[in-house]
Amino acid sequence: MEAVDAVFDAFSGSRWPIGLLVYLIIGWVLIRPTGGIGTRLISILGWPIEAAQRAAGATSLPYLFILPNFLVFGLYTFAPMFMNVGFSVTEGESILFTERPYAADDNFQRLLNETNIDTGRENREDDKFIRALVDTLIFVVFQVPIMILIALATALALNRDIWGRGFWRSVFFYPVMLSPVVVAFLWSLILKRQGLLSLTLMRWGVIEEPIQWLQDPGWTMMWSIFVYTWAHLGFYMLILLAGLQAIPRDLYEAAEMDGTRPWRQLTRITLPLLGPTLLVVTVLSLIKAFQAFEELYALNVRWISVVAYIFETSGLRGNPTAHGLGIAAVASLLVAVGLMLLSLLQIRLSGRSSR
Amino acid sequence: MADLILENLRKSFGSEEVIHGIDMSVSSGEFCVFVGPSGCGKSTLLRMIAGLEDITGGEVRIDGKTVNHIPAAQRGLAMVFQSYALYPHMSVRQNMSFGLENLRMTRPEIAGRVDEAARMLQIEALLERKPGQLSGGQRQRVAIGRAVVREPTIFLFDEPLSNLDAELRVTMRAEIADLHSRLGNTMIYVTHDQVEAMTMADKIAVLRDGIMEQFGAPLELFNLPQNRFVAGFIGSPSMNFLAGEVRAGQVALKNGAMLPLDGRFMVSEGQTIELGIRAGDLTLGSGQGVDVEISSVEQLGAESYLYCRSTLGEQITLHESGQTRARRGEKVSLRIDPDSMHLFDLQSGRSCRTG
Amino acid sequence: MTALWTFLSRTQGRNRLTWVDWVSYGYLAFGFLLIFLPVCWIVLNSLKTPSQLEQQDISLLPGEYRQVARATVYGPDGRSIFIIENLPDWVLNWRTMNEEDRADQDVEGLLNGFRGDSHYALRSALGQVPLKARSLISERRLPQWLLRYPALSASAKAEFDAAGAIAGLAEEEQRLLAEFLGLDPYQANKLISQVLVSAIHPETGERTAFAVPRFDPSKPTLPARLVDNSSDRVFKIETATAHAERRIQPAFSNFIEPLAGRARAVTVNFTRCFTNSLLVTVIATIITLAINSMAAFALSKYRFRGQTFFFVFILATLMVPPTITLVGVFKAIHATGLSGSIWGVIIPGAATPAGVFLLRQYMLTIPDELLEAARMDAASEWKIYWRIMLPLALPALAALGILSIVWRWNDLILPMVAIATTKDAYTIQLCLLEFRGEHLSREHFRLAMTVFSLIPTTLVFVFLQKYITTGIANTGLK
Repeated sequence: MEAVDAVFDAFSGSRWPIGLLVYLIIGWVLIRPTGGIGTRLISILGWPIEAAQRAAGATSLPYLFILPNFLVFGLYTFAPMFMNVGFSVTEGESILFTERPYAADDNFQRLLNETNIDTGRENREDDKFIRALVDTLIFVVFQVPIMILIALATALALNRDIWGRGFWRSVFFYPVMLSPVVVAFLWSLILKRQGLLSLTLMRWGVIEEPIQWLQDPGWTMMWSIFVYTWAHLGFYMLILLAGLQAIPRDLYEAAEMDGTRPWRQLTRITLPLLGPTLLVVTVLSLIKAFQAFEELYALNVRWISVVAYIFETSGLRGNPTAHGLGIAAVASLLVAVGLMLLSLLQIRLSGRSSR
Repeated sequence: MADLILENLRKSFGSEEVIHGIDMSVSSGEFCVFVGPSGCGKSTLLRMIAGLEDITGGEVRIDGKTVNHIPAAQRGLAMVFQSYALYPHMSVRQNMSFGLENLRMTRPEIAGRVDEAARMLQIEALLERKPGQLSGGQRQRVAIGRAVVREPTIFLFDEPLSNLDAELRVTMRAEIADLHSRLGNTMIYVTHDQVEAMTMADKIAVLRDGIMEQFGAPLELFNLPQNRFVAGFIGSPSMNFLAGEVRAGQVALKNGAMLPLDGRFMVSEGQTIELGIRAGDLTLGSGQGVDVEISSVEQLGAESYLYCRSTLGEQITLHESGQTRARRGEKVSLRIDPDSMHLFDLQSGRSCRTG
Repeated sequence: MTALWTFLSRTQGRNRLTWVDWVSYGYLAFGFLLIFLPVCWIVLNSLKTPSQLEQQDISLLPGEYRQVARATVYGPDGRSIFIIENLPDWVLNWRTMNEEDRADQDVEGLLNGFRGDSHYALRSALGQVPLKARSLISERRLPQWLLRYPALSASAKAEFDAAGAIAGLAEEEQRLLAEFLGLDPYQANKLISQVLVSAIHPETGERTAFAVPRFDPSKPTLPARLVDNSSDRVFKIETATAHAERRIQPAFSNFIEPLAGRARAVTVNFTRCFTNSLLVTVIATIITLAINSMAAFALSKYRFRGQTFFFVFILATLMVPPTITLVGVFKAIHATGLSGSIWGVIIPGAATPAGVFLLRQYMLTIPDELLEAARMDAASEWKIYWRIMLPLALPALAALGILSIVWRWNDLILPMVAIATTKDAYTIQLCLLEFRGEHLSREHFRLAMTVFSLIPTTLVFVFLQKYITTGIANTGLK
């Protein structure tokens, strides 16, 4: 019954089903479709495009085809960016702009100043933000090279003439299909205080007391990196493998004719030709690692990443703080600028490598 | 059936004009071929008639009605594409009925037309197959069938035989000619192959660089080419050209031969000209001739071709019926029949023939 | 065996395995273990009973040790501790059962089967003392303050003469009320489950049945009581000699109860979450395919003013991940009235730049002549889109559709932003994240539902992986 309720909830409670009906009826009147039911339905669905073509010819049609996509992008990707700018220069708890007075660069001060401009006492926010930034950088600096090395090694192993190649590739790809929540739960089952790892190590006599691997300050970063790498390795391995397979076979045959040793083949042929792919993978994983959040949040690790900082400060969940929205908006703008530079780099690099 | 009139038709892509004002009139029921080297604009011209390209300037009139702004589908034309453009996901029958469905014809009527066209083109057995399961020749027939069922006023063919092998091409050529004589429709046919043009056309339009060089019946083009380009393009092997000038009322070739001029040509004293002579109008012998060395001989049994080089390095081809005794390396003299020679002005390339 | 060896050591073209091959195989096998052991671990754990999980039992297989009950009974002679054997499972699981299941059990029949201290112990453990005491009080018309008496503070209790009030009753009745009122020396009796092991008796040297609190093989000795109650003493038995009998019994109820909506005392409703996730995944995938293919069609098959702008605009959205603009996305979803309903998850993620890119690249390979043929065939542009373009772009649509299914099913951040406040709209990922038991941990439900949530993506992985890998390899986008 719950299932039925959920379906009912999804499709009731607003005016849009009626809107859809009106849309279809207008379409029916204008188009008067023929053919089977499915054919008629799809014909009617596109009635604005049909009508525009009948009225004005084909010149306006591309815009109509792009419109739905453009609307969604505009509303939920671009508008939020500008809204973030709006939040960053206004203050207050409300998300309604009418209730948020203009605050110039106050939020910036609140985020990064030494003294709290509201109370005049020492500001804690900047320490938290800088801490998050530093921790994230530590995470990125270790996670990205480690993952790329392992991904490269895996791709090289899978690019050999080995038995069951498709099977091995699937195995390494499988974690990519798991959701962050599942990944986190999977590993917290092993890494929690009374988890498999602690109990096993205790049984073997390696450690005396159970360790909370994810909470212990000495271990939390290492295991964050491990779990994150475990979850994302397969994706980058796949791209690298595609890059490896794009290297023409006859190059290796020619090298073999010349009597080139395998190690030299790797360093002189494989790696240079894989260079562009490797570069793209590096930048891509940098961008992703910098945004690491979902897995870490679900794992409940001891440190907070930049995105987690933004999320927590904004008060979208939990308790909103006095100027949390504005501070979070400033922080996200700062991070977004950094990420955009990285993305631009990636587009440049992928453009170059595809040429 | 309809006649087609092009009036000062122009087409530009951006700032570059590719069709430079073409005038043409195809009367009802005629088979008209556009021929020219690749890039001459013949396909563009066809697509402008079809309505697939915008018209930059001038007019296209079908049955006296200007169709410049009428969409392709409503011009009453049907087109056979170079790649056939059969919808790969539809069966042959669906391919042929798709257009009729779009015109909201009734089901029995559609079935009747498709069956009739299939019978005429002998593809009844293929109606339920997908295009991917057909051979090249069968696909060609289906593509024609798709055009036939529309019962168009004008058929448009865009190099329809270029994807077939040589043998099939000859068969299909005959079938299309046969189709024309049976249906009696106006047909516009684009090809780069002058043999196709000569064998099929009622009228040929020779195009070069967006300019129509000559428009007329095949033999008219063969016998009375209006310029050096048409002379060289029409006929196989190509016409031989020898440089010379008009001196003392005679044609003085650079390599020394003198030929008498008669009233057919209008030339002035001292004018530099090119003399054109077809391979079949040359004979081996002495006298008023050109001294050449035979560089290769092709013996085809019933006829022979001699490829010669004059003392000035001009390439000259000679055709002899029957088998020849001439040998490679032999030095011979070629006699030019003054009655079959063509004269072209060297600068303008225009024919010097009067009237 | 030899045949297997030949098969395994076979190489393509070369005769012998080199050391590089061995290293490769070793590495791959290690990766296999590292990836699949955790997954197997969670699957096996999801079949363990709540009590097995609570004991932090790290054995691989789901199942329980044979259990006995250790009873602590307070009587006139002081405290006595003894073991009760051969109780039905439900008695030991009583604390974790819900009201409906409890109502199904024949409590009275069980109690009648026991006499003396065992009876008292079970009567307390099954919560019968207050029930019986209340009915006795009203039956015998005893003073009503007796009902309130157990909850009173010590000073308030002093104002009443509880012992005097029950003095006139029969012995058994007196005992019941004394237990209920907590009169000295009576206290609440306890019944806890222990593990039944057989071990060498440290004194007699014979193999004897013992009850131990936890069977922990890492300890050298275990504190144990004799099951036959022949001695009150606690013995120290050697773990090495102890042997516990285990029943292998997967707890499928971990799955069945939440899916049938019978998982009580938890903060989320799994059936609803799964339905929501299913709706989100299906609807969002359809919308994604529709609007992305329309945009890709326009970008690949038309030439129009602003084409480059639109394409760059769409690619640029790749650079602004929602993780960064969280606050703004929340505001946008709120402002468009989608927050708190599953449409807040469906619509904002429907336009994916990766999807447009993938479809456009594929559509570019479809010859324009087909479209022109359709135009000559009097098809409208909309009809060309759905009758010609969509069927021909089916391979790319399939790839994007499958990617979209996985994205949507696994998505966490958008649900967190859009529907975190509305429990009725939770998707399964949010559900698993937010899961809490009301009184008890109820981890077994979360484990089972986590494993259940893996089913769609695993099916896609097993049967449709090809589309995903080619999709990723072709676009380099996830």
